[in-house]
Amino acid sequence: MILKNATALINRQLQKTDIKIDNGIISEIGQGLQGEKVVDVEGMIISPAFVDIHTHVRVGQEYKEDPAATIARAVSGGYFAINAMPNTVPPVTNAATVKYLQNLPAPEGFKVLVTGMMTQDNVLTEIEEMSAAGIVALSDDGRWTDNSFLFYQAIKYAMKNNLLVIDHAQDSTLFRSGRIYEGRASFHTGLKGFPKAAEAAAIYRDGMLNATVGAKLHITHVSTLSALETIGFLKQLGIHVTSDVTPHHLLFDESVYHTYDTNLKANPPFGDERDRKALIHSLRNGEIQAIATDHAPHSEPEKDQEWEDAPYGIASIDAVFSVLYTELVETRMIPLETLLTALSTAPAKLLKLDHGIEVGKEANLVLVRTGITETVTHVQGAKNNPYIGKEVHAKVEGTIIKGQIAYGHLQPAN
Amino acid sequence: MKHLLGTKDLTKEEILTILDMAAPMKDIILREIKKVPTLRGKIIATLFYEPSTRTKNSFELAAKFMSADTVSISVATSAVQKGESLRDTVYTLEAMGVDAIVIRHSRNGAPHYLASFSKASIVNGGDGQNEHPSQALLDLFTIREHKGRIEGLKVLILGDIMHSRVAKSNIYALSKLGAEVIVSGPPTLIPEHVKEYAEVCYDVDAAIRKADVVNVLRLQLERQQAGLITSLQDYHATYGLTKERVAKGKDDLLILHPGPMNRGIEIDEEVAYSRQSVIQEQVSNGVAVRMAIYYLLLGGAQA
Repeated sequence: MILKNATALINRQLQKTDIKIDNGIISEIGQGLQGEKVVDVEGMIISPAFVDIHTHVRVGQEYKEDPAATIARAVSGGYFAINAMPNTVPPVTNAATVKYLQNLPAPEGFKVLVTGMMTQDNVLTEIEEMSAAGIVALSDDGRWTDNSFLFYQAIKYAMKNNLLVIDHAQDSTLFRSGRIYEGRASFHTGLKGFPKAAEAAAIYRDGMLNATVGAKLHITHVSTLSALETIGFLKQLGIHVTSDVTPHHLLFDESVYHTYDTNLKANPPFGDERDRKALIHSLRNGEIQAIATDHAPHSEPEKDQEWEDAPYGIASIDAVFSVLYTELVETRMIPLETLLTALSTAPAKLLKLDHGIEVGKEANLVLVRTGITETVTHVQGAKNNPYIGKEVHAKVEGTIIKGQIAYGHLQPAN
Repeated sequence: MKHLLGTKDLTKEEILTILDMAAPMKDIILREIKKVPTLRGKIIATLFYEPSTRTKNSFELAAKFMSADTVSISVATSAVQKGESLRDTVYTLEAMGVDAIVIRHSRNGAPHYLASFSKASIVNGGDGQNEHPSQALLDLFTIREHKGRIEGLKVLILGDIMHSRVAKSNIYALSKLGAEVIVSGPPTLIPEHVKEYAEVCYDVDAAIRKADVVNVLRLQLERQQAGLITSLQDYHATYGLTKERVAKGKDDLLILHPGPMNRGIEIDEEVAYSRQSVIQEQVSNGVAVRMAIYYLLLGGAQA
């Protein structure tokens, strides 16, 4: 297949080129390429396909969203790899569950990476066996590892096995004392507030413990300015720490809580306008490496109740690119190159995937079109997507996984 | 007005309309025959997910005085015990032709949630730590009856501001009407953002000296276990409305309490029943104010 007249993101820069794919591999990049199965992609932008570092695949809770729907939504959103969080039912604590997740039915070449739990019931999980089975990361996502001693031991295993430590950094006692961050919105809604320091304090502990270990500590879904400052401080000390941010933390602040819309209930909660601007700024300057969806589907009855009783979570993996483009790129807050990199090669690098538009690499590509007008609709799976009904100015036209068109209507001319 | 969800969303004019309307309603209550036909043929349901003596009965009496039929759902004996969702409970009430639902719920925003889909008028009878608008309106009505105005008065709200829906509804309504709101209480129970509406004065004695009105909040006794107050005795000594403190205040200091009281903790017995206290009057005024609320929500169009 030859993708003709593309504008492709190569080494973080957009350039006009053709791309030739043979046997699932990018075989040639350059202008005026000749061959069979030519697809004219004039007007589209080609990026390395997206990679999600933080996806909740509801194995054992299929009523929330069938894993097949989660994967289909990911593919339609331009993703070729997702990293499944371990809070499945049962949770990922041993090699058998790892293999089950890895082998979920998916389009040829689509990767379900798996993260294992770090601790369970206050002991370490079978980290060694899970590593042998191919987990890429450890995490106690959704629940911070309170026990400092155990966390310290776990990151040593992570270091030895070269696993990413995906840290939902949030002091648990403080978190339990509230529902959203203490601030203007907690006063105005009655929803109990907990201090934002819950995030920075947890990052500080985990970072300092990592100072002598040197594991690949990764703070996920960063939500506050003080968290960013703490990460900056740890980096100054030479401590290895990376981070990601979710689309919703880039787009919403605490003012949305006035509506008590349960589809906007996520954990960590939204900070104020300063926090949100700081997150955008840090994404732009690369202090935050990646965008993670934290795709967390829930059923309609679970979300259709009193705000405080509804579960935390937003499921929007299929809408992420179009929404972020519209809100951040079109408004000139983030360059397109930065957005695409943060969705693709940056998270791939954190997860040790060899990824990018380069001769010899697997052809995992996403084709997007901008400057159009569309409305985000619900297609399949869970409906707790706050972007449904929103007007966007970009869309994913196609997803190519291992050289095959996994999504979209791209037709070769001959 | 379709719903009454909170004083935060009311305009100054709407608040004044309710207060003005409550005066003739109070006249009705004081008559021999306490009944007007205004809401004949209307059905008002009270849906209380939390215990209540005065609010629930006050809303029900107010409906009866206006000739509405009332349905009272108490959670302990209803299908809620069988796991019926709030949405389905409301659909059930709607199917029975209910025109207004007064809801009290421990969850913040529960009335807003109902208002998002219900055809009936929703009246917030207290939601979590958010708002209790009818209580604030009856407090304002009581204050205005005694002081003749709200604007320019110094109103001290004393106690657990953080968890009090009464405090929040009062703070919004009072500041909209131009009162000067002062809050006082333990530092753990004063939210930072109250400063947008009120002066924070931790010195209770100084605050009382300034005040024309003091509204004392009920202290939930479990706040000590939650790590928020030092001890009940300490609380009483430092933040309680004692006889000695009242003696240092203005002679015509007006004392309110939304009830139920913890006598000897946030307020002394002698203070609660002193000549400056209007705590019992608040209860009578509550019925009048709730009649006014019904009138505006349900009777206004026909009137």
